[in-house]
Amino acid sequence: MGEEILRVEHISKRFGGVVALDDVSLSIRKGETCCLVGENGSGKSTLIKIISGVYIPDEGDIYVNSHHYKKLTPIESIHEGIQVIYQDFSLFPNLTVAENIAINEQVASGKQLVNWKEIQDIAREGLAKINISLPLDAIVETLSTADRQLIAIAKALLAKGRIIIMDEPTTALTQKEIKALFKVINELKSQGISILFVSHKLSEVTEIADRTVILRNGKKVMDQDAKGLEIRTMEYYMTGREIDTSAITFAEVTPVTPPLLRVENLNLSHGFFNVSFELRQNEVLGITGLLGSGRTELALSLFGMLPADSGNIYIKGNRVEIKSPTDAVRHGIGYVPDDRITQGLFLDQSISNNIVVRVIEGFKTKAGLLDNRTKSEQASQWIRQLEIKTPSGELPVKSLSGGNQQRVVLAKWLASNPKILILNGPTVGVDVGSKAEIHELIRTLAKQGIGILLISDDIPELIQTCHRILLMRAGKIVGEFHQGEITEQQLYSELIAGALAESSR
Amino acid sequence: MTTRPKISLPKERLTSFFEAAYIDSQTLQLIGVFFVLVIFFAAIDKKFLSSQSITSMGFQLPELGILSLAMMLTILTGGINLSVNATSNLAAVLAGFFMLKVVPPDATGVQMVFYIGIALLIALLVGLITGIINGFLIGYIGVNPILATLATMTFFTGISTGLTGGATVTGFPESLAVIGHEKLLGIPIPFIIFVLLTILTHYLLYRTAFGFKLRMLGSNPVASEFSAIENKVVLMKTYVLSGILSAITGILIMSRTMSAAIEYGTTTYVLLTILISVLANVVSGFGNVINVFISIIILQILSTGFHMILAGIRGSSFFKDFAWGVLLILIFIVNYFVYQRKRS
Repeated sequence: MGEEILRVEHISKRFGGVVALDDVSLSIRKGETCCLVGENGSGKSTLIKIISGVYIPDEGDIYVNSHHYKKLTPIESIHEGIQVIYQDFSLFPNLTVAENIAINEQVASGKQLVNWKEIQDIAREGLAKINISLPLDAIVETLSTADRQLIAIAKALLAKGRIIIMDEPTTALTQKEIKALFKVINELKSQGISILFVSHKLSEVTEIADRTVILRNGKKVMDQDAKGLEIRTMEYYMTGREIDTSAITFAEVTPVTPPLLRVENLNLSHGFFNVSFELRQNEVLGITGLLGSGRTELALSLFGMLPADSGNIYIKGNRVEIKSPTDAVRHGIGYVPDDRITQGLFLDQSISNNIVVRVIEGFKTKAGLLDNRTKSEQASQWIRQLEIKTPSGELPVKSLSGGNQQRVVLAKWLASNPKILILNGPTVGVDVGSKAEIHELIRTLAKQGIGILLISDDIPELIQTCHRILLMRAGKIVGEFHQGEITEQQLYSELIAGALAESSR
Repeated sequence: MTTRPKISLPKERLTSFFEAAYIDSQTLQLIGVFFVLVIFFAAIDKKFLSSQSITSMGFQLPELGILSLAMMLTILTGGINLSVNATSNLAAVLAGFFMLKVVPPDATGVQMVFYIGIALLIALLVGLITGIINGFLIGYIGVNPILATLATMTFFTGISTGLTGGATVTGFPESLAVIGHEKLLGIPIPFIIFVLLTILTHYLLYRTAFGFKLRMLGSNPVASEFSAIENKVVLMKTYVLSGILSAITGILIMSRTMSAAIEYGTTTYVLLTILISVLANVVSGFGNVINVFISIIILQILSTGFHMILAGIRGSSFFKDFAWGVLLILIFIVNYFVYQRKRS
């Protein structure tokens, strides 16, 4: 491990009355991977933005390459070799791989004409730095998230990045892609490049970190060598409390026939084949599988977004046609999507509007006008019931943290009183504390009689909430496991076995 | 003993009053602009505030005003309706043809009212049908609203041109002029119609389930589909309403000018309705009808005011375009600084 390359000391930052960072110090050495961990709202993003020159700290000092700054501008930050890879990668989706990688250098050179050969050369050089080959002429929007991320990394290296900050880099990656990313990170380390890896996926942190720094409510609560650091310890520091998984109680499944939902030989071309299963009242049925296993397509079919080509769906024994979300809703099916930002929420609209959107017709008075008072009262009731943390229901939903946003999506569906709720990745992008609370909520809903289909690849989540778990692989259901009969380790190897089978094909 | 009800602070009461009255920071800004302009023009020429001048504004602004409401509804859904003016003219031409071809010259007063009523229904029907065409293209086929309405704009104007041969249609029954020229309780009838439609639009957007869905759809069409809102139905209804409002504008134009022509308004009107929506800060999912109303009045004041000052100078009628442009740029600059201050 080399000398110190970046040090921030006693940084504080307030936004209005809110203290985002309170006396935080941090240092990174050459070739070190430092993981910055914390729940949403803990101050991770603020700290990144101060290091990259987006925000000006109220107090504190920044030292980069032994240069002292009271505040950085974005240009100074880039000149000092600091590069941030944001979640959206800041790429041009309509340009080719080569153009995206070379654009900074081309713009900086001030040339008026484009030299295509040079662009190809620069791109090749950039990709060589991380030992990766990608088709240079491919349009970026046709590539996978993982490939786009590699392009962003290559671009950062070409910009002479010595400290690369990755903001939640694994959110949209499959297990295999995460492994590949970690290989690239290790390659960068060997070249003496420092990485600040921001994440709240603790299993990844234990795998990649040299050092772990944990923030909670704007304060640094832990900063230590990652070796031997346990996930439970990190969880404790992140949330400030122990999450007790021993006291979980599951709902009693009602054994009445016919079952709440029965799916028989359901098919969707390029999606899934001959899928059959039953879901009972009070039951949480997990459906797991890797990305591309058909789990999301199955969920979308049951919600009418991608109507199945053939097969039968029965609700309480009656055969139903589900051709659109309107059909699904009429039969009491709700769907909480995995992509909360684009599919689940109206980000700019108020929390209240987001909650009542499903049931707006119910607020009509005799004159046909909306009763806005009852509407906001009902919204407030859901805000209280699901403990959504906000000073007012009239604030835009984008002002909430990930966990609270997810509760708004849940409230939206619960307000419409569904019989069956499909949850697709209900805790993706949600911090540890909220995650445990959402799991408790799922179990409570099951106790109240809702049948829940939980689609997830989060192993502990499946084990802690599901009565049964179905495993999907290449569009087929290939396994069924019962609560208490499988451990996290076993389920994990079952899931990965699929990945190995797929990659060896 | 009864406890006295808690008296809230004036500021809080003011805020809740503003919220209840749908007054936002943009409204206050526009009201400010309104007063500055009124004082400016009144200082230059006392005639500006004469009842004659105000009445003439009351007759002129409703056409652009109602057309702006038609535009606003579509912008709220994240779309646009470039065919508003073409719809107005087509509605006027078809209603005009009916009056010329069908109404007997010796019709009595009562018969005349009946025939004019039918003509107006024909105009509204044109609005309905053009709206259905736009709604079908945008909601059901999924054509981009700019392209769809650009195509229908040309299509509707083409029909009008084919029917009239490009000529102005005149010779309508005298009684038609009542709508565009008479006053009720001293207020121009077109202005009364405009105010009523403004209030209706406001209620539609903020007090009905349809208006709620329309705004949610504008905020995020994907999420609204995932919330089982039937996007295509909402879009269809929106474009139909937009078409009907455009047709009402056509009736007002026809009644005021006692003619129907393809060149009335044309692209200037379409661009102005977009300008008003920008001035009133109407965007996908969010828009305040009150702001649209004030914006229209501001544009009319600028137009009348400059016309008054520059009367007689060659090219003065073009100066209002200049003034509108300057106002728009000023509003953008002010908004930029307000935004900067909010950020820091």
